[in-house]
Amino acid sequence: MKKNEKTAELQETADDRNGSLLRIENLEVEFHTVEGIHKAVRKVSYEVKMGETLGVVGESGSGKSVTALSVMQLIQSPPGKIMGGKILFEEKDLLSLSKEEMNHIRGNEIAMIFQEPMTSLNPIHTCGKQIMEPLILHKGYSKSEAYEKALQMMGQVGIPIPRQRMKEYPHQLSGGMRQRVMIAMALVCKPKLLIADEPTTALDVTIQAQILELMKILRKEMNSSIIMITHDLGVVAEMCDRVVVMYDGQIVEVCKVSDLFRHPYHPYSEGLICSIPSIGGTRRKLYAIKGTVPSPYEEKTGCSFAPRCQYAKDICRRQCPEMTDLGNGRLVRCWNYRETGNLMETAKESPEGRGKA
Amino acid sequence: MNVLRYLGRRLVFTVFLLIGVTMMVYIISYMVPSDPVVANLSARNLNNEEMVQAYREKWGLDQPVYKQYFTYLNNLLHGDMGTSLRTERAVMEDLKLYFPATLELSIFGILFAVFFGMLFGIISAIKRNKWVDQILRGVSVLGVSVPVFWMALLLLFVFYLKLGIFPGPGRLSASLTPPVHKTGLYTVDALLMGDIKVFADAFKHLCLPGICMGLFTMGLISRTSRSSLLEVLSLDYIRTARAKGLRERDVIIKHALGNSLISVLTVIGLGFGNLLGGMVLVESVFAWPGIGQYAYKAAQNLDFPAIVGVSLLIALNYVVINIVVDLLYCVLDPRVRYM
Amino acid sequence: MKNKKSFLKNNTVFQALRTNTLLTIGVVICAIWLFVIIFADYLAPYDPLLQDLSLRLQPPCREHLFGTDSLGRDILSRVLAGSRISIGAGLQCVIISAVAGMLIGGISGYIGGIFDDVVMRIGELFSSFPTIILAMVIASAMGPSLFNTLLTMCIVWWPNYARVMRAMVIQVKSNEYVEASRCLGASRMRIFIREILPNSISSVIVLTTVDFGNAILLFASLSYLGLGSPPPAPEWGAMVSNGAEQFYYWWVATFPGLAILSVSLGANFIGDGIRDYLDPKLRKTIS
Repeated sequence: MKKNEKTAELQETADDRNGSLLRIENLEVEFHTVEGIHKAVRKVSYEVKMGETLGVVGESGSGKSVTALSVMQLIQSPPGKIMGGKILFEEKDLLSLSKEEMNHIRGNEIAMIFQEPMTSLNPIHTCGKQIMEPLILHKGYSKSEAYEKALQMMGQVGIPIPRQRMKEYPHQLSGGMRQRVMIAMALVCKPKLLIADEPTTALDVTIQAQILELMKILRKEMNSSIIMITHDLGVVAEMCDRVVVMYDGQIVEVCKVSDLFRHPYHPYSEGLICSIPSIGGTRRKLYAIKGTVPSPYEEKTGCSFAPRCQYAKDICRRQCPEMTDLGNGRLVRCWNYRETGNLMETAKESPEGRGKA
Repeated sequence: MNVLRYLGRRLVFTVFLLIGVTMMVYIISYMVPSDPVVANLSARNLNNEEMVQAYREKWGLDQPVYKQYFTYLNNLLHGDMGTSLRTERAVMEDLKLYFPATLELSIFGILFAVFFGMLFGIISAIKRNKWVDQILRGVSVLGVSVPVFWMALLLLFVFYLKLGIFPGPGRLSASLTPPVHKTGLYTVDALLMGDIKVFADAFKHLCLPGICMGLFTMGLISRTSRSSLLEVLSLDYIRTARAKGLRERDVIIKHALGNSLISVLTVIGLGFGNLLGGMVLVESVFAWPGIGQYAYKAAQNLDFPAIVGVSLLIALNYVVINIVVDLLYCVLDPRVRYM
Repeated sequence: MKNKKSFLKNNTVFQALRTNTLLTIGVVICAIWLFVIIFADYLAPYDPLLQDLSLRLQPPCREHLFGTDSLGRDILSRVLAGSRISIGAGLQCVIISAVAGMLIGGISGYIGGIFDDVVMRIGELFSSFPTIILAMVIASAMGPSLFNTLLTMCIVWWPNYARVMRAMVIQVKSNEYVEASRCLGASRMRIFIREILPNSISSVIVLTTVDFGNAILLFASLSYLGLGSPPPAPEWGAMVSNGAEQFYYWWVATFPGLAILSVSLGANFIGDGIRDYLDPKLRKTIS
């Protein structure tokens, strides 16, 4: 492995720039609340290439959703505020666009699916009307054209008897059906980028699988890039090409999905992987990362994962590590990345071994 | 089918309400220590035993109260509400005479309240915590805190006496003749006749009392629409609407407003009740020849047939308003519609 | 010194006052009126009942800050003295109806069944009717007096509290810990007093504060219509009514009206403040 210890910013090789659809650079988002200032996103940079599915993983409160909402500029303000950084979509900085220009991109070129299909659809409009809305808005379709297109889209996302469903209201549909409506609504304008914020979390397990399957098919048909935000590594393994691991508002690791599962470099990623129950594999005790997410209002010195990290040393508590480029598109934010892997080893070696070190 | 069943249930409720209201007033009339004879006959006539007896007999006051009540109910079924002790006219006639004036005023009041209440509430919610919001919230709290009768006097003093912008008490200037009675609403009748001058005058006369009537309800509506719009704007589907790329204006108009209206509707229904309560005071200050004044005088004179009549009218209004509000719920909220 | 500061900072009541200006204004207004009620006799420059026909309808001046009325009585003194009757009536009405309503609603909700149905229908009947008209009918039937007017107000007001209390009781009744104490063999009365009452009281208190302003308004309206104490008593509503007869002499009606307005405004500010404060959703978003 090449140990090319360069600092944070992504390498801008010509190759990268060509394939890049969205590039987030040093994004900082803060929430100003009664309790204090919450730095939800701290200097986050990642990119999404054309046609790729990028997974963003992390616990709730790690800033993964906030980053995505910043791309759409849907952060509630106040209390939220984007403090700095760039969000380049096809080389345009979204943060410098006017409201009108941004409205043209939202729902048209970048679309979003939300976690709660139960509450994310407007209860007083029919499903059909809600799917037709972006078409009329962005593509200038007439009502009847939009109706036909929406109908077709509903069929495409696997909604049975679409003509009937067009007339129905969200409360008449099941959770899975509503999420399909959400997906239809998001994809109806053929966006270049789809941001899916925990699209399956609120659904039953069987429905989850169906929705993931659907998204895979649609990805092929539409050729869109996807940012898949999830806390479920199973979803990442199933869907994604590359993965960004976030912890406490920072990116701690970026790599290919296969690399992450083979050898995670960051202790947090390692913990995440060891806490997945494996089916059919050797029996072992499930690992649990000790401690809890740090308070968002604390001013931190050093690596914010240090209090929960089994590899933590003095330097970890004193100074926050920079992003280390390991080459081959791998980045990790850790002083001790060379030493990680104990957990994976123990898990492999002793079938009934202790989870914790 | 659903609507029919709903209306049927409402009808049953209405009948019970009307029976309840009449019974209540009759029970009160039975329990009261004071004597309508004393209230209605002059002191000189009171000493005259014959006159008193004749009076009692004439109005059936010598019969036991339950008998009076059943006679009344029976007559009511035949469309007869009895005769007012004070005006000596059929109560039905009196109500027909006085109701249009009140109706006109109430409609003006509720329109004023709904329009400005919603407007203020929406602006307040959009400009949340800005100075506009603070001022409008102040206005709406003032609306629910100000004594109506005092406000009426104040408006009359300032706009009629001092500034002369608006006309004084009454429905129409003395120099004009009222329009031909069709609906009884002067503004509508004047328009039907095509008489713009009378319309303008009648409308001007409506303004001050109408504002007074609507003030309290406006405050209620404004506060409710502000808070419900704010609540709706924080919901997930509003984020979805924004994610579609709708302009903020369209997000509010197309997605938030309809939903927030649902809870405002309840307050509008309640507001009508307040409106009817306020009419006694407003009508007395503005010398408005409506039900409020009629009820006030009836109560003072213990004119029970008139009181029961007014009570029935108000209860009926209450029922009608509730039905309208419930039907509007159905229009606005598909979840209610498909229940 | 430092301790006191941190106390002020940590105490939730003070925090609420600090962050909510309107609540603070409301508290100040009500505190001033409380002061006036207690010391009205010392504050009033004249005897509120003292007539002096040579000084009738004097506009506001140095001797009579609020002017004099048609009988030459000092309006400032009457407004101050009137605070006892007018605010007192509002308070009494709200407290009596709150207690009665809580009892009736609580018992009704606890017993349930037909009893509950009948009580609630009766309450609905009272509250479906415009308050002023009902009050007017009852008060004029029983003769205009302070007591009758108050009684009337309570009659039309209790259903509000009964409804809230009943809803709370029914909700609490189904809670697990009440089940639990029942299993432990607690008597009905004991459950009612120990478990249900403390749980229901906070929402009743909010309602009481909001209603206090409305009660003051209703009482003033009734006394404006001549249904309060008999004439010489300095009652705000009646004083405005007196001013309506002296229409050209604006000060006669204006000052008692302002007094009514200020009290009900204060009560509304406090009510709103408490409601905002108790609503956790609103609380979180204050920033």
